[in-house]
Amino acid sequence: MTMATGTTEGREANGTGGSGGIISRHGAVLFRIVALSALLLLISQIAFAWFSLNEFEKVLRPQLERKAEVVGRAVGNLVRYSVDDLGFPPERLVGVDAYFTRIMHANPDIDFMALLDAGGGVLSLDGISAEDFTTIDLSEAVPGATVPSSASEHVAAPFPISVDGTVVATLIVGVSLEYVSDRLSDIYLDVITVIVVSWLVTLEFMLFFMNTKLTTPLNGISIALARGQKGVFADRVVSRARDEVGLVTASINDLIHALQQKYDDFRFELHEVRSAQLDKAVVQRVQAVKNRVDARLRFSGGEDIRPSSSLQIRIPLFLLMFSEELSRPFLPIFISRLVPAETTVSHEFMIGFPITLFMFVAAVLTPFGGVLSDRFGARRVFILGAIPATIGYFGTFLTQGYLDFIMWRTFSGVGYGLIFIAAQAWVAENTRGRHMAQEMSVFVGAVFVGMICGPPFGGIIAARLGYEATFLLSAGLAFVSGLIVYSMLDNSMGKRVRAGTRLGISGARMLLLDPRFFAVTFLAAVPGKFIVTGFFFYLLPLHLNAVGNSQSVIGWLMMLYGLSTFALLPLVSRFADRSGQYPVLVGLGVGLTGAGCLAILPELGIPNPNVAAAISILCLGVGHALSLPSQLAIIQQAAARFHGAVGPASAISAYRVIERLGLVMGPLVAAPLAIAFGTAGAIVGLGLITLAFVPFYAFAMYLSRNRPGAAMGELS
Amino acid sequence: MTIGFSTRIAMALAVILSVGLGVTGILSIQTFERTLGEFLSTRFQFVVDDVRQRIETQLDLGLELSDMQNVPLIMDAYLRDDSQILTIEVFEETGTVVHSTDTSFVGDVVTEDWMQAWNESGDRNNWFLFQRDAGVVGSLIRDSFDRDVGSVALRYSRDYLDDTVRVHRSVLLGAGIVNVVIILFLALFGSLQVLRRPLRDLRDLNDSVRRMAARKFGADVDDGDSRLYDELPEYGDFARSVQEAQDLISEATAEVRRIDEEQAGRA
Repeated sequence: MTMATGTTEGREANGTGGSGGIISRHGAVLFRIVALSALLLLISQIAFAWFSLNEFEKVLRPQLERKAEVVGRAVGNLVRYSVDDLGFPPERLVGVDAYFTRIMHANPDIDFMALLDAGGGVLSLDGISAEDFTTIDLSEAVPGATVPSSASEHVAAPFPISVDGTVVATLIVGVSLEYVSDRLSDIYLDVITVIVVSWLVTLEFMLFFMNTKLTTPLNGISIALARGQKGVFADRVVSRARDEVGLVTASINDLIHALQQKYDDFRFELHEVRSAQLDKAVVQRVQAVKNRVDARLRFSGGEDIRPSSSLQIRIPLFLLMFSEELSRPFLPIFISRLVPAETTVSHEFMIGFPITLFMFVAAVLTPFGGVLSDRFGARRVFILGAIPATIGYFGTFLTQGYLDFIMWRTFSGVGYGLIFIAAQAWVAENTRGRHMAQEMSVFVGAVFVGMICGPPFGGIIAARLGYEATFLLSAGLAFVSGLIVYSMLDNSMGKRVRAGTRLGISGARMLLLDPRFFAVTFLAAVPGKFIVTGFFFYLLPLHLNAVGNSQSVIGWLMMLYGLSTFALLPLVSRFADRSGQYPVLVGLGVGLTGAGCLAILPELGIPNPNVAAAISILCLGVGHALSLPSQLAIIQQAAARFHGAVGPASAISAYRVIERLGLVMGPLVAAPLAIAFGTAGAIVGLGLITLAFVPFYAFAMYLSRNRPGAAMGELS
Repeated sequence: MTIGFSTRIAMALAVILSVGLGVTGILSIQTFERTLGEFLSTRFQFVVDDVRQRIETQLDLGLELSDMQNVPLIMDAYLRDDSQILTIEVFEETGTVVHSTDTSFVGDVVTEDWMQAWNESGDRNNWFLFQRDAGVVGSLIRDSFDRDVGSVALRYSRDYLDDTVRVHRSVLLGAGIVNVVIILFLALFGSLQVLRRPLRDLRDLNDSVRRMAARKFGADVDDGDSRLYDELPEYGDFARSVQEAQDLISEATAEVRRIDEEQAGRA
């Protein structure tokens, strides 16, 4: 017999005792080690980035000066041609100002241009005031080489224009130092992105390592101790570790085995004595002794304690999300190459179709994934999902045409849909008691880290090795993800969930008639997803581009969403579990996401559009951190209220299906709003629509407050 | 042979931190290469734009693309001034080269890649191509009726870009190795500090459990065990339960033997 035990169970088996020892407080050790590695990595990365940026600057600045030389020489040749070949004296040249303006317009790195006569008088000047120009000391300048101006905003290069050996004019080309700073700022933002991405990946692996090597095995020890305290010495802790934790585990197993042996010896003697006796009174005395021992101790009916944790799913899920997100930056470009030249529908539709189909297949598989997870266990469904995902990515790597591509992406969509639900089901299976939001933040966190880290890596790999190679890497990661689940996750989890918990029509009806389930899906999850696709995916990049941001700045600003959600998830979910105020947090989260969009409103007087956008993005991130784990906790509560009639995975999959309505609706609502009011107006409009859901949600929750199971305490 | 937990942690930190720094390094170099490439191409873009403008001026005056005598001179001047420029070519909408700094190319048809990049440039004036040995910057030539009549294309050597990136990669690799060594030392020292007490507890726990397994009936607990009982209360409760079990079984065994001996005496 086997017993798989989740983190929470272990924690609770352990009681609240503990004065700081390794067993009861291994979370603190985990935190310290992860914090230490995170801090060291951050320090080393910042030092490394600072060093590399200094090196970059040394190379980039001379390139700008080369550019000034090329421009100076080209324009100088043209002036010389006009003066020497065509015979126009420099002071009678016309259209020079307009020519300078055109060059500067096409070359933002050129800051100013000036044409001086032989005596140094200004004939034409553009891009700088005459006053500032006088501050530039060119007396010691080598022709064609740059000198810094005292205004220190630019470097200037003089280009003397000679006719028959006599300098008749001098062209001055000024290069903007601000341009160098701007480009370096872009690199700074890229480097910050790089640091954040690699930092998050590192943290994920460190957490997984510590969880596998320390937290989960100690959890097993903790359970054995807790059962031993109750006089149960029948179990064996399963551990393959050969370190200090493994040795303790082995010693405890040996101790339990020694006790069992001692008990067996006692029983043998007892049996010998009893079988040799004919006197019933003596037999009864002997039996009374045995009963006294058996009343206090238990040595039979042993179980294998296989400690498990919701965190165990985090790396496999992260790898899968990461593998899918790798192709995010170039997928439309890749598809456009495969679209046949002659098509009956538009090229744009042909590009969008496989993306939509992928999401559709994943959505269709969602309820099946839930049912399968409830029936066969999350582990098996995860592995089942990893197979088509791997085949799909590998097929995409080999794809030759548009139809091939659609077929392989459908495979990947099947895998993605199954795994997405199986991972949540695993977390639900390992969640007990008062830690629902914290455990669910494991799932949400892995998804967000995958979303943050995948695209930058994918872009780089695609640039280096090509689009196809990126899909090959995705296939490898999906395979590894399945392999980790196969080799490291316990096989017995599915046995916990009874067959017959699948979501039939009656189950779906029960869920939809549950006011809390209805409120959290239709009135919170739908607007929550609606604003993600409508505002974040669709309108925000357009808005940020319209106000003049580079791709780096847009990418960095958009990363704030994932980062803020990821950073706040552990804190907020812990607070949610402690307070039990899941419905309030969901309402606050939805309200905050809607209110954040209003920051774009010009009437609010936020002068910098990027600051306004950052506020909106942060509100979205914080709002989702507040709301997502609590939504999932409420869904689990809803499933628990039906006492097995609806399994947790089925309830989650029903929630996911409804939530996707919001995903579809976002761009459909945003597009006409943008046409009518512009992107900024549409963002504000989406915010107002989202806010409008809040009172309905609050009212629905208020109505359901007295229903059975509404209170947290009843469920835990 | 067992590998200690702190060694495992240090090894894991070594691998994970090295990977983290490696990723930072790779992504930084990638960013640098892209930015340097953009800085280089903006210079060459100016050159092709200048050549294009001069060609378009002459097109406006009614000259045919292939008849412009001064275009090769302008292109040659740019080629002389910049050693990174490999060739500058002007080709018609059919892809036939009409002017080139390498006269042997005149009359040839440009490669399919160039034509595709030119065709895909759409409304933009410039097109770019990165080939294995060279970068290409192109500019669309439009006549006075805004029709695309050809393109100017400049091939520049990737040697400078590749060499600079290679040098920086080596410099960053060196800096990265130094960084990793320092950080690993700190990681090892830090993890040993963090794990000192937990590992001591685990070792003591292991010793205590082994002593308990070998404990004789009624024996008192060791001093070290009593410390553990205080510091790890859950283990203390477990140990007391084990002792109780050991004593209970011993007492029960003794009682059964006593009953057996009593009966044997009576017999």
